[in-house]
Amino acid sequence: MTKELLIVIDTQSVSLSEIQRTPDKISGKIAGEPFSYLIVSEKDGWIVLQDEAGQQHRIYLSATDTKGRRTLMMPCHDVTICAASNQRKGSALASTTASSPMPGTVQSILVKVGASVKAGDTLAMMEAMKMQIAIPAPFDGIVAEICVAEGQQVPEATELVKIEKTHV
Amino acid sequence: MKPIRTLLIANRGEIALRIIATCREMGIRTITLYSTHDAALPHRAAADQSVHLAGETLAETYLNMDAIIAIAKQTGADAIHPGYGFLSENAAFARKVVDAGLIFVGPPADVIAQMGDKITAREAALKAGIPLIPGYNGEKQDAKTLAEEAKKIGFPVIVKASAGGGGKGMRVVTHPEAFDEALAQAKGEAKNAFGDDRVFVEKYITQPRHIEVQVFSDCHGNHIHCFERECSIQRRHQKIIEESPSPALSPALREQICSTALNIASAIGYVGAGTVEFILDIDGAFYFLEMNTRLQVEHPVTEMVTGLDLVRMQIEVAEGKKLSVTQAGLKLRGHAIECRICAEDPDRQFMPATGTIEMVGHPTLRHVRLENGYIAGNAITTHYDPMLAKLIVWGETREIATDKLCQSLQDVVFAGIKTNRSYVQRILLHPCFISGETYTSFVVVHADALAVPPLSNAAQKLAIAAYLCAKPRYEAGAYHAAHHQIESIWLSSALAGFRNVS
Repeated sequence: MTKELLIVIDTQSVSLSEIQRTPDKISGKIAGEPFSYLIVSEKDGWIVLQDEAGQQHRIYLSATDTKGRRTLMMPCHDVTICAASNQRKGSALASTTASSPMPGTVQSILVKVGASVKAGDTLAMMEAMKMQIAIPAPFDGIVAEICVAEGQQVPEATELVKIEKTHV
Repeated sequence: MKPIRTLLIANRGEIALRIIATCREMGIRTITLYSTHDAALPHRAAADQSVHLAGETLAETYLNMDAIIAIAKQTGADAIHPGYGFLSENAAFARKVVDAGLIFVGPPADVIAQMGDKITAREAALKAGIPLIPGYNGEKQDAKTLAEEAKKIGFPVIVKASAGGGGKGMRVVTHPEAFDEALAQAKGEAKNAFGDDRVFVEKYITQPRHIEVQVFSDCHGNHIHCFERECSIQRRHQKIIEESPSPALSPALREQICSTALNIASAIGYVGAGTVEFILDIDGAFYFLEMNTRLQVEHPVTEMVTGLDLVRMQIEVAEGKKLSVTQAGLKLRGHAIECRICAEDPDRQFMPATGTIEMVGHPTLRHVRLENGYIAGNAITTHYDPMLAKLIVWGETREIATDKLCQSLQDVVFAGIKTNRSYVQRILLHPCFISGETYTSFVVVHADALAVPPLSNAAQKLAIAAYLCAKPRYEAGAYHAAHHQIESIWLSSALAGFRNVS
C-alpha cells in the first residue's frame, strides 16, 4: 500500500500520510494528526478495530459501488469514502443538464425549448417506486433541449433537459 | 368449519415470508406468486410451490385478480391470504375469491367496502357513537354562522377551502377575536386559487399522535382488542417507527380508546384482524380516523407485547373457529418498537434508492425480529415499494427497547444500497423521542436535528482506519466480491499478499 493517499470522505477531501498496515495494526496521519488502531478482526466485510483507549468498534464496510465509493455503516451515519482519483467524473456535464437522479419513468415534461427557468423550477416529473419526483433546474437559464419523451423509461443519470446558462 | 390445508399468498416480499412462517408451524401448504422481477426473491423459494405471474405491470401481476384466483384453483388452494397492500382491501377481490368457492382470509367483502369508503366509514363510526373530529361543513357561509360554529367546535380551529389543497385557503385560528380576519383571508385565497371561496371549519389538533387499536373478531360474534400501537413517527403519511404501548396513554385512557375501537368492530359485525386508527390530541381527546380491514405492516409490535400470532389467528378465524383467547386472558407485557427499513436516501430528500443488496446482516440481540423480504444479491428496482424490511425489538421497558433497536441497526445494515438506517438511529436517539414527545409532526419539527451530523474527529479517524484496514485485500481483488464465496476467499491465495503489506 502507498504511504500517501488523498481520499474523499463524505464530501471532504482528506490527505493521509505515513500509512502503516501490518497484519494486526493500522496507523498513519490524517492531515498531520496521528491515528493508530489494533485490527481485532476482519471478516466478510465486518471490521473490528480497537482504539488506543481499548474500546473496540465493529463496523461493516461495503464493497465499492459503481462510482468507486465504499460505505461504512457507522452509528447514525453512513460514511462514504473513496480515493480522490476515483471521484466521479462528468460533473461538468451535470452543470448544464438536469439528469434523472435514479432509474424511473418520465411522467411529464413541464417546460418547452426556449423557456427561461429559474434555479429550482420544476422541469419534469419522474415516477419511481410509486413516488413522484420533481426534477429541478440546477441554475437559472434557457431550456436548450428536451432529451427524453414523456412515458420513457430512463436509467440513472440520464440527461433529461439541457439548459443554457443565462449569466455566469 | 372448513379447514385450510393449502393457502395461496397473494403478495410478495417480507409479508409473504411472514405468512409462510406461520403456515409451516400449522402444517399448511403454501403457494406464492412471483413476477419476473421477483424471480430471485426468497418468497419464491420459501413456499411449497410458487407460480410465475407473467407481465410487467402490477395490473398484470400482483393485482391480477382473475389470474390469481385461477392459480389458486389449479394448485388446489383452499384459501387466499392477501397480506397488506395490493388486493388486501379490495372488496371486489374478496367477493370473487368467495364466489370461486375459496376462503378469503380477511373480513367479508361488504365490510371491506363499508370501511373502505370514507363517508360510509364515518357514518358507521357516528352510529356507533365514536367521536369524529368536530367540524362544520355546511352550506351557510356567512361570517356570523361560521364564527358561531367555530365557537361550538372550540378553539383552536382550522379554516380550510372546500375546493382546497396544498395549504392554500387554510388558516389556523387560536382565538375567537382573530376568527373574522382569518376567515376573510382564507376566503380570499380560496377564491384566488380555486375560484370558489367556500370553506369548512374543523377542530385543529395542535399536537396530534397517531394511535391505532388492533382488534380481532371471529364469525361467532366474539370481539377482542389487542391494545394499541402508536405510529406518530411518520414522513409524508408513511409510518417509520411504530411502538406498543404508546407512551402517551394512561391505563384509563388506554381502556377508553381500546373499548371505543371494540365498539366499532362489534357495531359493524367485523370478522378477522382489523385496525381502528385514531388521532389523539394533547388533552387526551381522541377522534376516529379510519379502519383498516387487513393485517397491518406493524402487526409484529402487537405480537411482541401480547405473545399472540396474529396470522395464526387470522387463519383460524377464516376456518370458522372461535377466537382461542379472551380479553381477560390478554396481557400487555414490556415494550416493542418496530422500524421500517426503506431503500431511500435521507440525505437527498428521501429519493428512492436502487441497487443490489450486498449484505443484509442479522440480529444478534435477544428478542429481535427481522422481517425481511430480500437476500444478498437481490436487485432493488423501482417497480415495487421501497420498504425492504422491518426490524422489531422487544424489551422490558421502552428505554431498553429503544436502545436495542438502535444497536440492532448496527447489525442489520443492508449494505449495497442507500437506506434510512442511520436516519432511524438519529430519530431513536433524539431527546424528544426518548421522552415520548412523539407527534405526527416529529420529523418536520426536528428536521435539522435529524439531518446527517458532521463527522466527529474520532468517527472520521475510525472510518479512515477501517477503510485502510480493508484496502490491501480489496486491491488484491478478494474483498467479499461474491458473498457465497466468502469462506473460500479466506482460504485462497489472495490472502497471502495481505500478510506482506508494509
